[in-house]
Amino acid sequence: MTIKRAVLLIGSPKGNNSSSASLGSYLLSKLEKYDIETEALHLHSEIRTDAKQTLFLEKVEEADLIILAAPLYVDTLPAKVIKALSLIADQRKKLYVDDIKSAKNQSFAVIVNCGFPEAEQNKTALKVYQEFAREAKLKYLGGIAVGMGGAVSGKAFSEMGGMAKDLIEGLDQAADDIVRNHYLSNTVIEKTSKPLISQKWLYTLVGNLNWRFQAFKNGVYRKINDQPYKGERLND
Amino acid sequence: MRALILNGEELDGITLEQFSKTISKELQANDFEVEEILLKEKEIADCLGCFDCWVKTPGICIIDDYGREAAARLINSDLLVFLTPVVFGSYSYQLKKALDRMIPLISPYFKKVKGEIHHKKRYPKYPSLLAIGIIEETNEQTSRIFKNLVERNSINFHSPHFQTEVFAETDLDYQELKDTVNQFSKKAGEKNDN
Repeated sequence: MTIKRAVLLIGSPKGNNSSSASLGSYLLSKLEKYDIETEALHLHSEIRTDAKQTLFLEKVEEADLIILAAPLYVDTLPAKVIKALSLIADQRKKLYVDDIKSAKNQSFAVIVNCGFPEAEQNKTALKVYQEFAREAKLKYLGGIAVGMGGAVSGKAFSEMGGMAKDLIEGLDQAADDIVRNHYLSNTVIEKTSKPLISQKWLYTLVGNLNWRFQAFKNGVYRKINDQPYKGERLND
Repeated sequence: MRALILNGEELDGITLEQFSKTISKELQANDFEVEEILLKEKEIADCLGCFDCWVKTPGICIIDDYGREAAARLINSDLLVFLTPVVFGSYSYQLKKALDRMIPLISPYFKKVKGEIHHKKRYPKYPSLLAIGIIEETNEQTSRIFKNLVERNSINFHSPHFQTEVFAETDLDYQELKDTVNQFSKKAGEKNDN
């Protein structure tokens, strides 16, 4: 199958100001160099109403390749991503039952990022995405797991300097693999899962300082450890 | 002791009422005061990923809807039950929309757990977690993913005890469900202050 059209589904509620958008858009820009027609869709707004859902499914159906870029929420997919993927899987299953000839061959690749330093914390989510691909009868091209998502946070890679070198090389290679409709190579998995900051302690130190700084700016520095619901007796 | 059932039944999916009733009855028999939230009936918006619940209104989500109340009820329970259809090995949308809003219950600060970075506790005590997944028919692969997910959640939600069982709709054994709940109730009723 030749990939002529790719759709990027961005699963972060933060829209373009998210690590998911940065990562997914970079990969999409690389695919465009291979003359692949692309479109980026923000899931949170695309499936808000029934009418929008119908249009969303039409756009997904037109693509040969679906790329999903999403954050890790509570060890798995954000709620809205579960909803969007359920819609896609239901539509695909229906097509296969109603009219198997009209069911198009489509491929699926995913980029998951988490705020923890370890890219491995995305492992369970990747298994969920693979299972989705199986149930939706999509060819699974593999998953890219990125840790330290907080260091990307909506930035363009050009702003990140040497920190993003391995990640960029990994995504470049991913575009090469995807364009051939091949499973992501080991180089992609290795390069993209490398920590953006080599010392884990430094990432957590800066992270902890950042929470304090933001709380200070918002005038709640002394309240950051508050327990507002402690011992609350709730009635129906 | 209090138990909270988060029922993640989908809007157009199978009803989990019978499961919920069985679980509730078994918990009551083990001296738990039981409350159930049928999430599809509650207005809970999707998490915005803003982290304001950590740095602007610490411990409280900025969205003023039932998500706040669900969080308050969860942290004041001793035993938490996730009851959900298994979707791609994960939770239903209805359950997950609530879980994504539980972030205010933990601290933004990082700590190391078995060599991995996680978030510190905000509260001194968290509920034990029993997850009951319902699938259409037995599927080893999705059951394994589901169990793995609950184990990961038990780390991030600081659950003193956790257990996961997956039941197939087509081959349902209510006695097994009762036994699971009964045994876990006893375990969760023990010292629950990790």
